[in-house]
Amino acid sequence: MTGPFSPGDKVRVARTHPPGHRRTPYYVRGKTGTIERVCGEFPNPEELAYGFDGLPRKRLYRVRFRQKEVWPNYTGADGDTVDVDIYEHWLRAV
Amino acid sequence: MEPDNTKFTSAKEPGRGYHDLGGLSAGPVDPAVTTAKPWEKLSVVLGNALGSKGKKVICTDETRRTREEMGVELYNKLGYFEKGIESMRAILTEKGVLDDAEIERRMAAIEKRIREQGR
Repeated sequence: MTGPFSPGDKVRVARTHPPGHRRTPYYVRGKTGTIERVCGEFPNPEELAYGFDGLPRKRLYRVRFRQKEVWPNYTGADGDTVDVDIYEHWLRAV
Repeated sequence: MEPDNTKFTSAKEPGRGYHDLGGLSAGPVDPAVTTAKPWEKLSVVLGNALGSKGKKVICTDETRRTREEMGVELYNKLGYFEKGIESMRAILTEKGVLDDAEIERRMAAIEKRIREQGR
């Protein structure tokens, strides 16, 4: 199972707000992070939400963001991070 | 206290769903744990029986999507279990398993029974 991204790669989350059931939280859209791991391939929840079978499966990544990148006013430590599981079609190479 | 998400559905943050609360101020968490009411437990049982480990009539992603489609007013007004019930109603009517008139008739019958028999 190989995809376009591997652990350590930098990626940017698409800054887009399409209508419908979307699994990428608003607060990370447009933010840049690093692939932490490849979680596997799963039926697409954005299709399952409407009664379809969710196939073909979509690859899911765990993406690690610096808290200071996600929250401009973050006052915690520089090294603090947050991990978010994001599907491949939301990610762009940096 | 309900999350103050109404102002975030305006043009101020276009595209942000009213359910998408990550990072918004929602006030303190009330640590008081209440005991689930019988109908609340029943609603979870119903959801499980219809879901992926049961009859596979509904799936988790559909229950999320229908919560996101019920409108911000209803979303903020209903409690957790009420949202779950409303979401199941929407999916089951969408799929033609139940229809709204049938549900209304049944609700009226139950209301009458409770009024007359107290249960």
